[in-house]
Amino acid sequence: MVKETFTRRDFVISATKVLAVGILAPAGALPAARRISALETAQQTPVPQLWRGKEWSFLIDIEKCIGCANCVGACKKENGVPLDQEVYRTWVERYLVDSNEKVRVDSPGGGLNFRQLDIKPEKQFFVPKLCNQCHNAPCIQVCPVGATYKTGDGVVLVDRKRCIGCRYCIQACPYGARFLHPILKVADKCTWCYHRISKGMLPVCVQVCPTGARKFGNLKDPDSEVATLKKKARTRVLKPDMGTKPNLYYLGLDEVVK
Amino acid sequence: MQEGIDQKSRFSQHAVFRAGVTVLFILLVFAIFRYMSVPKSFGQYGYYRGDNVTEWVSMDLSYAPPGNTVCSKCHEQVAQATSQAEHNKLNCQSCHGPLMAHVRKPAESHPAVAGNAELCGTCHRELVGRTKEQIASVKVGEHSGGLDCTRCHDPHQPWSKIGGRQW
Repeated sequence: MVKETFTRRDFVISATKVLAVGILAPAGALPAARRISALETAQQTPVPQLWRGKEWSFLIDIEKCIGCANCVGACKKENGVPLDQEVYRTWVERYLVDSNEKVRVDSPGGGLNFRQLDIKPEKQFFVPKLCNQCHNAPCIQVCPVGATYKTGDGVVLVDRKRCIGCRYCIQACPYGARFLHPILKVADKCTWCYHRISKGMLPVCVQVCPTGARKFGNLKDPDSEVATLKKKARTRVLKPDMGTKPNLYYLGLDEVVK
Repeated sequence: MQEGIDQKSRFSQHAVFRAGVTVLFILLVFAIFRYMSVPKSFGQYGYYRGDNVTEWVSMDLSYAPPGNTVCSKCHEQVAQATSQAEHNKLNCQSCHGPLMAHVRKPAESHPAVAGNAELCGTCHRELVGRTKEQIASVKVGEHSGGLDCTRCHDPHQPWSKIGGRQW
């Protein structure tokens, strides 16, 4: 049956539609709004494609680190880790070696509260630490509920909805990279800012590092800084004897570092 | 005799039937239990919930995207000045803190930066562990006499204010 009369009701409905399009279309095309939405949605590819041709890797140049702990604070703010609690996704350790090869290590406030000391050490350097995203990760093996896993592009993640907070993984990690999130009560650790790297950005610690001590990139891209450095420079991993095959490499790492 | 055999076979038929029903029932209970307890996308890519990857990807940012490209769209002059001086390798947010909220709604969120020794000192104070070759460092109290660093140093061009290097 064809409607032949154009009632007042029909008029109101179509008038509202026209008005709505007229108001919403220009608002959606605002330059600022468009810029931000493009930043956040453009590079969100579906999962299996997201991993194609990618193997993320992290490299830290010890010589360049000045222990400012900008990375520590930024990481906490970016990833919702409580600022006032002694839990860190990344932290900076200070190594002071005296002439008798005695090693003194400290990391007050994860490196945010280093104090000036009245000593003159023989060797002095900072070692930023974070999750090693191991190829052979013990934390994944011990999880009883399949809440932690390695993605196709090489990052170990924790499923917060699935984690039961049993802390096995925290015990299993030889690098002490995991902790129980004080608010969420689930295991938490560095994700190499997975929400950033999957959109073509850098992890926040790499982005705010003032000296460029932290480097991040795709090993499968031969032109990336990390891939080039790994090929030509002498790199070391932490605790190679644990057989975890870390994906975090250090340049100029001293043998006293555990 | 005949009757006895019949009874026997009837009995065994019954038993088989009952056993079958029991097994089917157990399987059904297991299937229902499994359906209810295993999350939908579990096992999609491995021994974990596949949907979780997307959950991590879609997490919100508080630090704006890399480089100083975003900031320089509005703050062109200061970005240009900084790019020519000592602090050119720094990201704006290294000192200014997380700015995603400001990028999203510039008018509503104005992040303030304290140009004092506490901020500058994170990198530039003398500290056991860092060397003078690595970074220009001072004893903050002695150096400034308690004044804010910005009295003499413009953080974007550290030497321009005191007649030093002008870019």
